[in-house]
Amino acid sequence: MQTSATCSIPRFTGSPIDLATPFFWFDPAWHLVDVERAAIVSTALAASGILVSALHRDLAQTDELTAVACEPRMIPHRCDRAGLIHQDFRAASVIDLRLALNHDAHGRFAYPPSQLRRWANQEETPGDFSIDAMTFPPDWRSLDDMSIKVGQLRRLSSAAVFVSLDAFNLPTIWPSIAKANIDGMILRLSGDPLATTREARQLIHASNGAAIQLWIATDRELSAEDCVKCFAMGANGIAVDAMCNGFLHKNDQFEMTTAERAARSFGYGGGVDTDQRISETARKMASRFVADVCGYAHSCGVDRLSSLCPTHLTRVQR
Amino acid sequence: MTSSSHPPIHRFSLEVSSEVDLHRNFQLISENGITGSMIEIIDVHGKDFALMAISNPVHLHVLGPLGHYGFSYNLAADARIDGDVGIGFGEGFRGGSVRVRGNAGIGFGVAMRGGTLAVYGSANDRAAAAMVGGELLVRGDVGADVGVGAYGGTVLIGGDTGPRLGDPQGELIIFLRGKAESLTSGMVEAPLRKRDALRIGLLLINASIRADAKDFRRIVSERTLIAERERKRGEVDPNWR
Repeated sequence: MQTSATCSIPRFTGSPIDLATPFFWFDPAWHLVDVERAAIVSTALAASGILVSALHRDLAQTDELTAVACEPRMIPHRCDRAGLIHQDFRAASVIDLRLALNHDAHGRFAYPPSQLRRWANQEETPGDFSIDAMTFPPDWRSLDDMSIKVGQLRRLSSAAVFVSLDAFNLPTIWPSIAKANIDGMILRLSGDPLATTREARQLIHASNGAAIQLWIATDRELSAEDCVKCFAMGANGIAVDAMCNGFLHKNDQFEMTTAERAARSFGYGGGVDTDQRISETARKMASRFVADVCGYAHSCGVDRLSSLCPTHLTRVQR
Repeated sequence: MTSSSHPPIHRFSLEVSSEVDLHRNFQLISENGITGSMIEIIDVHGKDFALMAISNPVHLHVLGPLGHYGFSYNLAADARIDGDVGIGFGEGFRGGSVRVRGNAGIGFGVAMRGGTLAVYGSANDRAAAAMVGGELLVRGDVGADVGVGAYGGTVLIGGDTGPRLGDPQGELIIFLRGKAESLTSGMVEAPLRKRDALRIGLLLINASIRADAKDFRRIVSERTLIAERERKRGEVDPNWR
């Protein structure tokens, strides 16, 4: 029997959130492509079981709830709520309460003009300037206000509430996380993820927080084998940004050839257009990756990825 | 029986009605098209996360103080609140108007995108933080770091402010009547133009605040002021207006 990739996020209140796979795209730079391309890529990957992080205005030009077809979706709740509108709360499966910052293409903690324009609607007319990202929520008196914020998010949405932070900040922020009754934590790691994942899982267990999901987002590409090891070390979810980010850059393999474009212009329906090509490539890539991970896990003798533990890496299964 | 000369009043208790019930009732009332219908919200007692994400154009009178994050992501309601409000009040406010007859906690109007928020008492630190649009008025004093991270919108302050007023990155406009302990580096006082005086007058009328527009000073980013001075003028946009 094949190993199952399905996973379930238990929630502090309410029914669990079921996901097809424990993989997610943590921080796509949607402003690098137009809205139509973003919608196609996000929908294709979500249909393949990858939980995609995106705001409504990253994927649609209108604020109609039905304008975004990408499900399931994670919404990034940044310190300054950049780009966030109420429709995001209604469509989210997971809310990512971000306490970690990302660099823009120039290495600054800032939102470039293209990203601000993407998040603006017709009434808002952002100028041609970038805005520094906030490093701490301006409405919090201290980290202890995290529990109040989580309470608000639970009222606004039926999504699971996660907090994302840099791994080196975990000892500082953990006491507030432990009191906030969150559903999960996303750790941003650099370097080798195994030791940090194991330490984080031990910290969670020591604080009686066994129900808290531990998801990891590394700064490098993880192979299928690496992912199985991370699951065995205590991760419940793994970011696959390195695999997915290629869809946000210009890639000749997606573009139609001159001959195909010419045939189309004469009314011949042969060939696959760019959008279909991207969609099919995304689905195949995601499906192949998940199958590889499940294959490795199956060789360890488990029927679910969530059943992996450290002993599976040290014991030979006959 | 309601007199025909007065709009009907509906009354809901936050102790009894859930948020879902309240929203359903608001929808029914606004769909029935009863003009000027007033809704009273009672048994408030400083409740947190109250009256969030209202998308129907209803008129509310909240009898009592609210806790944290009240009226977050409001889209259409007009409301008056008799009491103080907690942190993060009006977060992500998008439309409608809310007047607080009391004081506001930290982060009043954080990340607001539209509509009008007014507080008749004082507001604490970081009011209008990360503001994108809309109008925020404080009749009394405000704390430190007002408008930090904001890149649009208008703030009007009747009293004094704490240190580091404004943010020079975007196009936030501040009208100040009192004294600022300090301006954020890159923010400057600019001459009050005729159009600004008109605008202040409208803001004050809208918020039912009695004041004279010419008592206010305009505070903008240095970049905005330079762009204003360098802008070409003509018959339609003369430099004296």
